[in-house]
Amino acid sequence: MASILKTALTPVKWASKQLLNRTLLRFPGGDAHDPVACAFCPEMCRFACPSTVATGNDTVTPRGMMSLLYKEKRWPGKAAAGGELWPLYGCTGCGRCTEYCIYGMPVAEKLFKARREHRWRGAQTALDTRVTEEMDSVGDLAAEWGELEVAKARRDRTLEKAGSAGVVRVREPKELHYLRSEGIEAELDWEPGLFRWDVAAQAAARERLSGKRWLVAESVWLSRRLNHAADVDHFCGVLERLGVSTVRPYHRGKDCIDTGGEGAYRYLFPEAAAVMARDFWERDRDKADGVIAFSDRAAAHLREALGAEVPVVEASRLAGLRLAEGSEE
Amino acid sequence: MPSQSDKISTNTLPTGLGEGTGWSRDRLVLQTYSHDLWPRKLLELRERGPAEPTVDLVVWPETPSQVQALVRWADTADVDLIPYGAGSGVCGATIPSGSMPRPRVMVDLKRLKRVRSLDRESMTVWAEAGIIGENLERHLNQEGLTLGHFPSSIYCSSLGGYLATRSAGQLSTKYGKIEDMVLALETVLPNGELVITGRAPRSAMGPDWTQLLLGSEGTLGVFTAACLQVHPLPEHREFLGFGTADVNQAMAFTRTLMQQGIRPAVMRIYDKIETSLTIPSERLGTGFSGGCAIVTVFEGTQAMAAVEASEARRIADSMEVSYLGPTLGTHWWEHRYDVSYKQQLILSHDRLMLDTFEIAATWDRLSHVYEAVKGVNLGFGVMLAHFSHFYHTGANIYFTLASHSGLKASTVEHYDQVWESILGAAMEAGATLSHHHGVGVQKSAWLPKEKGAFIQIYEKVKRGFDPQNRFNPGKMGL
Repeated sequence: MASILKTALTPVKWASKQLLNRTLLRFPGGDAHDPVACAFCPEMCRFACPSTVATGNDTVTPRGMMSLLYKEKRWPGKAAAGGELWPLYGCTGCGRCTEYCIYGMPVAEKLFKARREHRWRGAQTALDTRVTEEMDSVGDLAAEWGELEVAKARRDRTLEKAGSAGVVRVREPKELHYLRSEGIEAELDWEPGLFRWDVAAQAAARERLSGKRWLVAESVWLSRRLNHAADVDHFCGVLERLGVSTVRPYHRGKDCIDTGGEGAYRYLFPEAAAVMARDFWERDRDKADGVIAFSDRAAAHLREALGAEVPVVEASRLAGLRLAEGSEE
Repeated sequence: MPSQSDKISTNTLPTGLGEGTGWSRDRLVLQTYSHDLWPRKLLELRERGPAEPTVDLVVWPETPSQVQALVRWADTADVDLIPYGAGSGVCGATIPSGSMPRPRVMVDLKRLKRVRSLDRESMTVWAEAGIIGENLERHLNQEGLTLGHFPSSIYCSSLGGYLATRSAGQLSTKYGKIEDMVLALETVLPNGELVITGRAPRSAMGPDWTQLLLGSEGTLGVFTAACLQVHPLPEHREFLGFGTADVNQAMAFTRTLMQQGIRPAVMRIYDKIETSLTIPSERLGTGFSGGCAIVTVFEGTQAMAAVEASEARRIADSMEVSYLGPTLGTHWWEHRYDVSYKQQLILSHDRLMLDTFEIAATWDRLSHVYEAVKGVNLGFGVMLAHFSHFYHTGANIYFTLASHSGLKASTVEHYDQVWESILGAAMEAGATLSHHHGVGVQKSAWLPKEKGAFIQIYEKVKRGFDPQNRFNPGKMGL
């Protein structure tokens, strides 16, 4: 009798589960990337957020920031009561929260997009000042705003080149990310993950770096924007073949920690960015004598935060070592 | 008319706490800190939209001496202080009580986040209260160690929060609860003094001050750090699944295991409804014929884990409990935090409520408590139950309630009615009304009912520690 009952109830149970999955156990509208998913989440991603860990401020946790989008969508203007939604700028863009979110919520992409709609006067001032100071960074910083003339011009030029091909081919990983976040199909013009050596300069690089242990500041921008095709292990391998002693950071790979030097965050929240850089160094300082960073801005930021006592070198300035197409020599 | 926030003279704050980074009264910051994860507050947000902040200032001290300075400043500035960890509490413990006439200052401890030292001989670690549980565990893992404390909120909760609420983790049956792990607390008392509560694994030098402070939910002091015992990472894990016809048979089996001295790292009984709704049938295997699923995990050295697992199987055989193989256990292990993400699925829908209720009782009452709480009318809803922390003398039951508010005017009103019913049912049946979530606002009115005369004594203790009643006032039934 029991087994007959069990057999009879099986389709009922199946139907009930199907009904639940289609109604209650899905977000309204079926979009798992709607900000409502963050607003009521216990926030399992917060331990991974560099902004949260550096500031301790719950307003700039992934959930804190995404909740603002939910509130603003449902009750426009009520959360800030006429003020500015400045926490939307509290994200470094590292994407580590997305790595840990069961729904893969693209927090950085959503916040960066929302910034175009919710301007923060304080941010504008900070970035405008820096724009004049670091002209070579204009393009990257401008890309985050989406409306500054240089970014628009670059985008327009890129789209012109694409023409009717449909897919835009670009050289810079950041540009790839930016275009994709705009919904434009794009791909890298080269095979990511390969490093090209300038053979003639290897000796100079070896001389510069030998005798010290170098902590590799794996860049969240590098590994994520290259879809993890290149990471700290790859880069350390390249340097080690050169005879350079490298230290893999405590936080690496999926847990790669933002040092706060990339993008606008460093200018908008300088104290927090400095804490990120110092926290990064503190964790592994016993193992290393200096730091290798992946970009000019990250290197400059680390030098400023760590002081003259900690040598910092920038990877692509290492005598010809740079990301490029082709194979290793 | 100046707000409470305006009354606070921030230029008298201790040195080192600057605007923006050390303190803030920005509206969005105050709103964030005006709630924790108490589902009632989430329902209020969903129904009524963003509320006015109930906090007047947030401060972020970075060192114990800054905390001390803040506590002394609170006296001169005449403000109340509420210690805050990661805001993951589900009972409203950090939500200012309505009866606070003074400005309310939230003291966020998350910048005290260092692991200070590790003692491999004593197997202890000194860690600061603001560290997030997962970050502490990862730090220890890098050293080949574990704290053994795995609340399902580990990714979003702080050590200070564990201490303040007497938290328990999923592997507590082997590693103990937080009170079993703490050797000493570093605490700033309401008079500004920094004290350390212990120096040895056990002491008969008077009452145990560590145990008095644990679970005080910020009413007696501010935790700045703790000395905790740690363990080597386990060499081996064995995953075993069992099936029983009903919860009574499951309780008898698990009681026998505990009373025979077997200590699984994980032991969980899922009642019939929770089994059928949350465990994929392919994980239960062909040996499962309906009823309750039991997950057990044994870990430790290879030999110990194997012996305990073998003994558990022998006892299962003798009690006609079906052995289902390792798949159920491995599935649970791989998805043990996933359930925490499910709450937003339910809460994203208007008119639905979701909450959890965790109690404990002695074995002789456990079945009655289970039936009493399950018998509460939720309206159009469902109540799941699992048993997840076990003792020689009893166990915990963890209920999950999801319900539609039907024709009631407000889901918050429905929520309050459901809670009144389940708390009453559990108390009547002889359970304690919280095993590990704590009291907060939610159960504050029930604390005197459960603790009786001890509340008056606690009032005197509170006055002894905090004569001005500045520390999280209006909580703990007072």
